[in-house]
Amino acid sequence: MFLRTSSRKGVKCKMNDTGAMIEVVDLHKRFKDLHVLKGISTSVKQSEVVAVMGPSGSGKSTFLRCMNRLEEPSSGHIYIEGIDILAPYIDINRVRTEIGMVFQSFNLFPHLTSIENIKLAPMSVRKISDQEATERGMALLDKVGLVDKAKVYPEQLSGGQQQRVAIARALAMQPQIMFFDEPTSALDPEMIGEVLDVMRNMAKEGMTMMVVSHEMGFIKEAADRILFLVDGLIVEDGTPDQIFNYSKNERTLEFLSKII
Amino acid sequence: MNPMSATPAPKNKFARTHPGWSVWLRRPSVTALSFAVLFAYAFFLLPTKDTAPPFLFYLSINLFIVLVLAFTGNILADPKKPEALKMIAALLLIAVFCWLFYRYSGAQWGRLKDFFFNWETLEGNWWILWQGLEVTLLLAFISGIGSVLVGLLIAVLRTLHSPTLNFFLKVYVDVFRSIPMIVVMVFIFFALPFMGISLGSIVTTILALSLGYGAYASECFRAGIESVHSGQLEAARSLGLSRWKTISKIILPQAFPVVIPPLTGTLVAMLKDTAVASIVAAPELLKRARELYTSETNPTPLVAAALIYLVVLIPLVRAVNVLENKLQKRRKV
Amino acid sequence: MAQPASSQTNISRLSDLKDKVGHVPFIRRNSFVYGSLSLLVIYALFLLPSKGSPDTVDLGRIVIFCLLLLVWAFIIFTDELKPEKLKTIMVFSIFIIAGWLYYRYSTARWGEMGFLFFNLEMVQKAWPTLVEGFWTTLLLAICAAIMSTVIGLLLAIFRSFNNPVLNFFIIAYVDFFRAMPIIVLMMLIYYALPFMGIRLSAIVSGILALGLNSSAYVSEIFRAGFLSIKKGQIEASSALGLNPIQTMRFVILPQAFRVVIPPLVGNYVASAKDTALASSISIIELLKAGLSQKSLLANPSPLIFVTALYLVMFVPLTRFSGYLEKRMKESQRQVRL
Ligand SMILES: Nc1ncnc2c1ncn2[C@@H]1O[C@H](COP(=O)(O)OP(=O)(O)OP(=O)(O)O)[C@@H](O)[C@H]1O
Ligand SMILES: [Mg+2]
Repeated sequence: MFLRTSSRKGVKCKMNDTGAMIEVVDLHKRFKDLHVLKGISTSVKQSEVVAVMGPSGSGKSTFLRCMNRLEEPSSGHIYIEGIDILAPYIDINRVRTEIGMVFQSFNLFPHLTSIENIKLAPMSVRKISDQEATERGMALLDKVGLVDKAKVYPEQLSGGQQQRVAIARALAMQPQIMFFDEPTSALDPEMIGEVLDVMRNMAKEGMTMMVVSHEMGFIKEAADRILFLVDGLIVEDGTPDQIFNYSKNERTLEFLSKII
Repeated sequence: MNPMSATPAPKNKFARTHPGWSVWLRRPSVTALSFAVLFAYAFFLLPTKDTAPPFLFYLSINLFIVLVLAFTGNILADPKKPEALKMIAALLLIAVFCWLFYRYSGAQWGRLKDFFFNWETLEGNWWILWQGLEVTLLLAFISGIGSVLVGLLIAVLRTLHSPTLNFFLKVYVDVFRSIPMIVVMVFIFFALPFMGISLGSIVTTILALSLGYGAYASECFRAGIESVHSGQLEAARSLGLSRWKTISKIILPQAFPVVIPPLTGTLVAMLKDTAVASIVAAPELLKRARELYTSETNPTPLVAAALIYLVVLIPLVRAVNVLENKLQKRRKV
Repeated sequence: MAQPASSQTNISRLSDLKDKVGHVPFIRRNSFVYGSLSLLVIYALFLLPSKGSPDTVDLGRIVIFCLLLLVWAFIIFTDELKPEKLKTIMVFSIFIIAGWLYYRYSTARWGEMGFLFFNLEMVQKAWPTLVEGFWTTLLLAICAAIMSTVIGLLLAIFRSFNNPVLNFFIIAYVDFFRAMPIIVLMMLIYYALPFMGIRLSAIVSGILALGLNSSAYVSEIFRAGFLSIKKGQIEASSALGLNPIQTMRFVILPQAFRVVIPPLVGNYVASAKDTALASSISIIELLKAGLSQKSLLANPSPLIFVTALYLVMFVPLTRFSGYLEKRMKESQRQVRL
């Protein structure tokens, strides 16, 4: 891997031309004296679907949240399309419009209806007209199968429906990358399928995705790669086949034996 | 004869071994007895005016009150007593209190009309009270705006999470929530002139109320902002909303219903506290009423002022109550 | 969906960021900070009026200067990326500038400041009265607290019987005393009642007004405490075979206590603060003592001392009641999860 400039001090934009969509170099994150991420380096190509797995507390959520700077990384570099998003002059809000994020706890805005949730960001950030935003929003709701719930407030929706609206909300910004942080782990079993279906379709359409999930079926079928995170380090990086069938790493095997 | 009574009662391990005192207390005979005791007490033991020595006088009245409360409470707490009986007990309770007050307060009831509701003394003076009310409302209005602005500013500055700033803001809020409003006013009005700052009574009042209630208002705002779940902020940020967009579109709409009830309560308390401004000679309602009271040597103006305060404030107090109950219900859902 | 097309436009959108230093908003740039700072300094040096009592135009200039300063500070404070050290320095420099402006333009006689304000000799002279005032304040606060607790508890108990007649009177009582400003109540009791033959001493009037007012709030607090206990709790404890007294002792009272104590303490503190209002009916409590000594000695030191004393007494109390309330909220949150 070749970096043209390595200093973060320079004013000129630093590029690195590996052609990857996301390039993470030696990412560290500390919470006071707790060292959560201990040097993560990886890259994600366009249209790749990467599953992130690992035991609880290994730093999966922190990793994702660092990549759109919901948490400020302590050191390291993150390049999105070759642009160092940690550079001081970067308007992080513009980067975030390119990265959709779906949370475990949905985080829909309770004071807005489904369609308003979806319209809010395109209208106030992208300055799209109300009409166009509504059209696009309805198309997205159609995609996640919830057109009839457009005028409904989140509290009247089931968990699975809320999560699908949350996905539609993230898609409304037409992001190039989608992050999912355990999107199904707060859901009842019968609702998990409907959310995973939506995600599967997105993967087929060529969305670049990073998914923290322990849904083996979904990962086997949809993921191109698995990152296995233990104690803030990537201990394994390979295709689902490699990891599930040929892994020799003790921690991986132990973890897999627990969740299967 | 009942055939059942011939056989000895089957041994029941669930049966009560003794009737508890609560069962005893609920017997009709006890109820009747208690009424009898009360009437006897009222007729024979209650002192007539000015007869008994003061200690016994108070002791016997207070004992009577305790007994009345206990007996009526005993009836009212029993779910099996008929509604009518409870109603009688309640009316009796109220009647007893009125009667006791009428008899023992030492008031000369004949003077009520002359000194409390003597509207003739107010004839031609109503406009003075009216002016006072205007000043009161004006003071409340301006200081209301002032305190909301101060509170909002503090709350917004606190969301910046700068430790130094937060320290000073906390000191400010603590100081003004700790000192009684009257002390703030007195301090500004009587001590600051020695420092070369002389403010009129109106300005003093507005300043004191705005600064003091600004501290309370800031706490209301802060509670509202904190009530918005942190996931909401993250979702907004991950969508790329800017900070001000996040505040205006996500936080404020959600914080608003949480802020309004306590904020209204604070503002109503502030309206009540405008009466304190009479200490620093602001010409508001209470001050005007006191002037009239002195010039007419009749307390009717004071009573009138009190009534005006009640007329203005009771609806507001009720409204705050309703708002708070609504919020509570919303929280429970 | 036309994913590839939109993704094309997206790429160009992101590429905008490259080499665009100008994307840092103007007011966040260092050049703005230094530029505006030097402008402020120039303003201070050349446009601020010279020393002495200012006229209207001068006053306007000073006010504009202060406003500019505050706006400038606000811009810097809202910038997350500026270092904390800078903000600390700014807070202190704003205090210094404010002090300097005041020193420069106020008509205060600075030479006599020590004599006027922090004159321990005067405080010493006033000392006996102040001590007496302190005890009176304490007496008022404690008596009012006892009275309000007794009345408030009784009201709450009788309210819980849900008898419509009683409820009507209790609600009327509570609303009456919550709506009536304490100071008005005091004056009614102290100045108006004697005309009806009810002569109460100033202290008793004060206690009565404070206690009656606070009893309305106390009754609401106890009522909330009673209501906070869910029916399920009583059912659950009867299901466990606890008798009524055990239910009371182990289930109801601990829960009610947790709900009642924090607002109750807050209410006592508030009503202790309200004792200062008793100065309006010539009770020599702390504030009145300070005021009377101030006029007697023609020196505000006793008043300053009294204010400081109020701070010393009530800041810890306010903090304590705030702490209790916070702890209660947290424990409630834990229960709900
Ligand atoms: N804001 C924070 N402050 C302090 N410590 C934190 C914070 N957020 C996370 N941590 C700590 O960082 C570690 C990693 O947390 P993280 O949420 O990334 O784990 P995870 O892999 O997502 O676990 P899970 O599967 O349970 O979601 C944990 O030990 C957690 O306690
Ligand atoms: Mg996690």
